[in-house]
Amino acid sequence: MRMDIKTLDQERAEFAYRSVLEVANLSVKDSKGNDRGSEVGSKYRSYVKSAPVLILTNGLGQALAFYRSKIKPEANIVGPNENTDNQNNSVLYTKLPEWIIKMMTETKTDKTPKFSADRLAYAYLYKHIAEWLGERGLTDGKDPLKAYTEKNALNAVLLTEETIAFLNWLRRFADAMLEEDKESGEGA
Amino acid sequence: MKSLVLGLYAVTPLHPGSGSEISVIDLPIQRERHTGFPVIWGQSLKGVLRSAFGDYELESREESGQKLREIIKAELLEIEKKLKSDIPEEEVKELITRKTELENLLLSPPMTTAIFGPPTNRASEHAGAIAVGDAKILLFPVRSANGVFAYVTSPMVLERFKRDLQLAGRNADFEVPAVGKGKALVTGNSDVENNGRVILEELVLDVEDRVDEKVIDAIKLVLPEGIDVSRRIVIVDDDVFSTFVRLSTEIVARVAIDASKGTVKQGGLWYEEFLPSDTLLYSVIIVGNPRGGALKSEEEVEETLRGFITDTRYLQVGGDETVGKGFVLAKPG
Repeated sequence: MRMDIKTLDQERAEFAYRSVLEVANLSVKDSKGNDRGSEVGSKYRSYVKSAPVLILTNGLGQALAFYRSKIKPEANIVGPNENTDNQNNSVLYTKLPEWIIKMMTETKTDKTPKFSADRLAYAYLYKHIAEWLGERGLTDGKDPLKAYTEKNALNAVLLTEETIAFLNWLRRFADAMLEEDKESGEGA
Repeated sequence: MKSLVLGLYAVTPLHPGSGSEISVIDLPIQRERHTGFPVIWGQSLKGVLRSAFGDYELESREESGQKLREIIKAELLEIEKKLKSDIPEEEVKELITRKTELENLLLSPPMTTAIFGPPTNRASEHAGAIAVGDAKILLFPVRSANGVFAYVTSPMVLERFKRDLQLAGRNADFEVPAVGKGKALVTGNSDVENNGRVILEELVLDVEDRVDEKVIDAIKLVLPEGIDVSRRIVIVDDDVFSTFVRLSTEIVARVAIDASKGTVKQGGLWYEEFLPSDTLLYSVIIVGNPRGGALKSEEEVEETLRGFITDTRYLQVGGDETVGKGFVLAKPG
């Protein structure tokens, strides 16, 4: 072992810590001006904790597709085989939350924005997975679902295992740093 | 040196819990550190065998038509009665000593003590006559597009099986097959093959060659009767096998219900990992000379163990006993 480098697990831990901190420090106001940051945090905590099992029982592809369906961005959803770079309105998955917060809090003339803690929490989870897989060099840093569909079977397994290893840290920190969601039974 | 190669075939899901692991699953199963393969540690297995054998001995040993358990219980009852009556202090002391002796006998009858060693509080007296090895994985069931499920194994697993058979002094004259990356071997009469391919979970593998009959014969040594693996066996490369045993175990969400509300208790949701039913494991048990008195030679110990496993057939291994988990069919090979 070289002494000046970090273990993979340390890197995962560091990244997971930063990710959870981002959610823990979140201050976001709904259209009525109430701060809903902690609500997003507890939803995020609950989704992070159930994520590994969701992936293990359904596969990474199904799990990511499920998260995407929960985020429902109204801009162009970029399909697995489309190029994200040159499209107007298309949003990188690593940029999702900022963009969704903007959509949910900005007053538009045509419709009233509707704040949803669930949606934002799912968006953060998806973003953090996307960012980490990109950081590890397993994807191009954009949509992990796109990367998943393009990999061969064994590389898709690698992607799955890396995601689970990352989530193992994410759930530890989420458990420690975010408040429990009163509505769900989790927390054991 | 005598030995026993014990086959354990899961009839219901198994939860040999690891207890201390920090994992994405709250209650993971025991695994080998360096391979990530599921395992039942020898110490867990020995405990299971000891407890089952103790019951077996108390039920099967008879003296003039009475079971050992009944004889002991009858004497205990007698002592209790005497203790309640008016007797001299010296006799009370004697009775109490005898009572403790009998209670110990119920916990660890003579043959059990000879084979497995004395109970923990008297462990320094002498060692047991057997060394129970870890139960290692041999066949792991995986969902298949054809034939419902396949028994999956790999060259590394078969290599270890061969080595363990040799350690136990058994005939192991099969060649460990080589499998190409992403390829599979099946038998000629396979139920899981479809047009030269097998589809396991989400993986599509090309059939490369056939499984040698000698491999099946070796597996039969630890396979309980009435189970045919030859139509479902698939040998895959080690990486693919490793993927299956890490990602395709059964994960079950369990909840505790708050009785007054009928809803899930706060903090009452947890995830538990199981080895699926139809998993086949094996363990090598080395038999030595007994140091305790009830059995005389290693031959006698081996014979007694074989008789016990053949008579008992089913063992219960691991956690969640009371919800029907952990039943295995045992085969002495």
